[in-house]
Amino acid sequence: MKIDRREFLKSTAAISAGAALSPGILSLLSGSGCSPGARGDLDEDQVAAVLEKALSKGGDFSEVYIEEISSTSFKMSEGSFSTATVGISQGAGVRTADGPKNGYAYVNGFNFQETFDAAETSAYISSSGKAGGIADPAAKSSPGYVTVEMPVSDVAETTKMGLIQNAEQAARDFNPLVTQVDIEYYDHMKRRKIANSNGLRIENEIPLIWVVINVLAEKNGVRHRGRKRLSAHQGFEFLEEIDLNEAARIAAAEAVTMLEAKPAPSGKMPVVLHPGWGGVLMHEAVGHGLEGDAVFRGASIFTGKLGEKVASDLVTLVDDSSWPNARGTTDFDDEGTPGQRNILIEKGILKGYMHDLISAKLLNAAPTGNGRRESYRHIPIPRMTNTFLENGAAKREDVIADTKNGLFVKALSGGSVEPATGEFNFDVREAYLIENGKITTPVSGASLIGKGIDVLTNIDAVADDLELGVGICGKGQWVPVTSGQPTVRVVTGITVGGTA
Amino acid sequence: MEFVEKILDKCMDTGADSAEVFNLNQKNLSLTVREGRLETIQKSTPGGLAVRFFKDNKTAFAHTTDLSDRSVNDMIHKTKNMAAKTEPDEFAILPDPGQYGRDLDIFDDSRVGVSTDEKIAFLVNLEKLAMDYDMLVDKSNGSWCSEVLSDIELLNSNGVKSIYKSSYYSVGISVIASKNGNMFPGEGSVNARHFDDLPPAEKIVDKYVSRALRLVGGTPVSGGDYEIIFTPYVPFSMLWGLSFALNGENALKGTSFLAGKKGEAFADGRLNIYDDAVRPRGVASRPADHEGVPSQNNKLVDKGVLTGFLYDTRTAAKAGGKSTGSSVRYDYNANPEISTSNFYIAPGDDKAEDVIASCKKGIIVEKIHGWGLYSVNGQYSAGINGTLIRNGKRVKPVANVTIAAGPEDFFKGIGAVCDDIAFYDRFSSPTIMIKKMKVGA
Repeated sequence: MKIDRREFLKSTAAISAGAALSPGILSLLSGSGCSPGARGDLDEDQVAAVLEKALSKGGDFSEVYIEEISSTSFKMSEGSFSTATVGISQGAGVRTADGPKNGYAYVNGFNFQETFDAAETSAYISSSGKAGGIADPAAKSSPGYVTVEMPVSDVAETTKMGLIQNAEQAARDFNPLVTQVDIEYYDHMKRRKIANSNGLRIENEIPLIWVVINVLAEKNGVRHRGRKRLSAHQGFEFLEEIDLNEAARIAAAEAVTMLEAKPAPSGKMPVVLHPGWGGVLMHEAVGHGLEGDAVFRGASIFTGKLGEKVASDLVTLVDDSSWPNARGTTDFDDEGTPGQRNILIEKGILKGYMHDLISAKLLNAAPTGNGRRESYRHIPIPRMTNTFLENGAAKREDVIADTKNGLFVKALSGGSVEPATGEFNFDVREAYLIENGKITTPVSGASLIGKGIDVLTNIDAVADDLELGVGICGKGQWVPVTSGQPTVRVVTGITVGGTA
Repeated sequence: MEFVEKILDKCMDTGADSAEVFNLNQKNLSLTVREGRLETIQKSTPGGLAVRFFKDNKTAFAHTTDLSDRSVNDMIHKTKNMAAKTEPDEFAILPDPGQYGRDLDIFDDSRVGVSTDEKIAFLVNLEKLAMDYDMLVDKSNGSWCSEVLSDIELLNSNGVKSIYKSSYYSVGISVIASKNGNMFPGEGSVNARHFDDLPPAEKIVDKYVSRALRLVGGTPVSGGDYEIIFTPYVPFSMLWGLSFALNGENALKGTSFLAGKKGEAFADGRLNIYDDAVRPRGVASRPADHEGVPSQNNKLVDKGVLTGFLYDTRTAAKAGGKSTGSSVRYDYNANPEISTSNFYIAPGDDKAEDVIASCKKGIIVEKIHGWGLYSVNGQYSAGINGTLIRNGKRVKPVANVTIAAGPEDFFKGIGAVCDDIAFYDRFSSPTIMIKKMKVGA
């Protein structure tokens, strides 16, 4: 559904008037969203004092990370918006880095004395007495990978709810077997201020929109769930540009189709993965092993393999935090390194790892913009952003037609990997048998397992239909990511775990 | 306390029919040691304030870390405005005050006086014990600990007052064993309310590093039907899915495979499941849930028969029952929702070694990859690491295989429940044997 732009402006005006009655820090609905300076966070002199204190016992560099998030969320369940949530989270984290070591402390809110005390705690990590110098501050401007035409804070809740309501109806109208539709909507504006003793000074605002549609279908006591997730770092225009109703119908189609599913087969077989979130296989099976912390600890099977052939010639794997407005895009990572496109594997050759400042230094590489953290309550560590397998030359239809027998996986719910062994697992949500080059019966109840390195070397077809899928990645702390790929065939190396 | 009362009063003054204020204050210290040296020290004071505002059967939730008067006032107004935009829900109610039971002994602040250096020395020793455990252990991801002291204040306008302190201690180890170019992680953690309830360093190392030595270099077995023996290392694989299937809201909505099956014997008679929030010193014990409903011990599965679901106040009202004290907030900023506390499969009489000795063809499962049980349809599928059993003898480590079963084969096929349970996490289980599962290889 397209929203009429005038409707937007009207609702915006009404809400701004309402917000004027209750000014203050929680003015989620006011036009300003987050305005630096108005919040009473630390000024330059205070920042400098904290950075110096954090280096008082030694260390390579110190850092202050200031964050403020204003969020709105609601959920439509059983046909009604039964509750809504508004939130504000603000605080500051101080870090002292010394080789591979981190001292970290954070405080809620922006209080100079408490932040200064936090610096004393973070300083505990070093006892070298040798501190890196304090450079003159130099502000960096944003690379602008995230654009906002219509701030989420300018859009009335009723407008957001209207969109969700229409999508809910679209899912229900799809098929009478649909029994439950749950849609969660979340948006926020995050303001970050990052300063370090090397002179880095950054202020950045980045919005996020996240919609999760869950549909349950039921027939003769058999139940299945379909899901579709949509997300971007973008203004509300994101939801104008995509078709939320169509997304709801896709989730409904999954739930309904899978009611007819037969038990999944078991054993090794060729697996063809649908474009998009199927890329999570690359994320888990390969990506985590290319994160700098696992590499420098020798805990990754990819340690010491730069320049070596680790994958089929068809494999070019990229992590790109500069992809415009994508859910994994950063503008700057959470240590202030600008987003960039990093080629990890090029035509099968291992080209690079993903680094934060510490792993880059330890492995004598340049930072890649992968130092990320869930919030001011967390230390930045090497994390993926938008990670995807690049397009190949094949056509989707041909890849399927060329597969005599196998499994076509349309949707995976997610998985995990053991970096030390490269063993991964995934739970399949929607899959079909491929018989004589044709997609046939839906099958359910399967997981996929294998080793990342086996998958990389056994990819024998890559199509030209790359899509990114949105998700969330946990590694002790959660960050938004995308995983993507075109249609891909893994000819062997994946074991399907069904009951048939 | 005064602060929280003041906020509750403000909510009522702003026009709420009823309201609830939840205030969480924590102190956290976490340390990581790697290669004999402190690698990370983190100190923090997490927490924040949350409000639920009810007016005309409509409700909204708000949370903030900014406790200034102006900000909190603003939040309350915003919450009121948001509530007005939601739709009426006759079941959106707050609980009345109840009687909180005996002291559960969940607070231990004896570590406050211990120096950071001493805590670091404990971790250095833990890591060293792990590295020295066997020649095959050759890399370390470090040892770590965390200490959290929490202060919860919960008030509602019906007169509920739930105020208590708790503590939570975790210790973990992560090393890697290597054999002929294969690596396997020796890792895991233990948790307790009292630091002294944690097992000694030697036991933690023995528990998790020995597993890596048993499992390193695993290879697939041929596919087919096997007896599967789940060890207490993997309670998660069954209980995670069951925690959603036994959630009263999922039961009402039909998103649980157990929906509508109350009173039915869906599992073998050996299966008994509890969610016990009043277990003394239990890692998830609490005097009241996070709406202030007194905690209790809920028996959910009795000799294989489903006896009930977990409810919070709203879902209980909707289902025409009583709250089971199962409302949980994962953090100050999370909406309260139905969840488990100390959730476990009760121990039986079988001995794990007897079960293994009488197994003709099976796999002892010591590590699970994936969620295991899917709560919507009861199907089980996961990747595993374990040990192959032939005629009662351990043959070789197994890797790169899946195990799967439908709900009938899985739950009715339980062939043994052993006596070897230990409570070091929210989910606990003794060794459980399933007679027949499909192995994919």
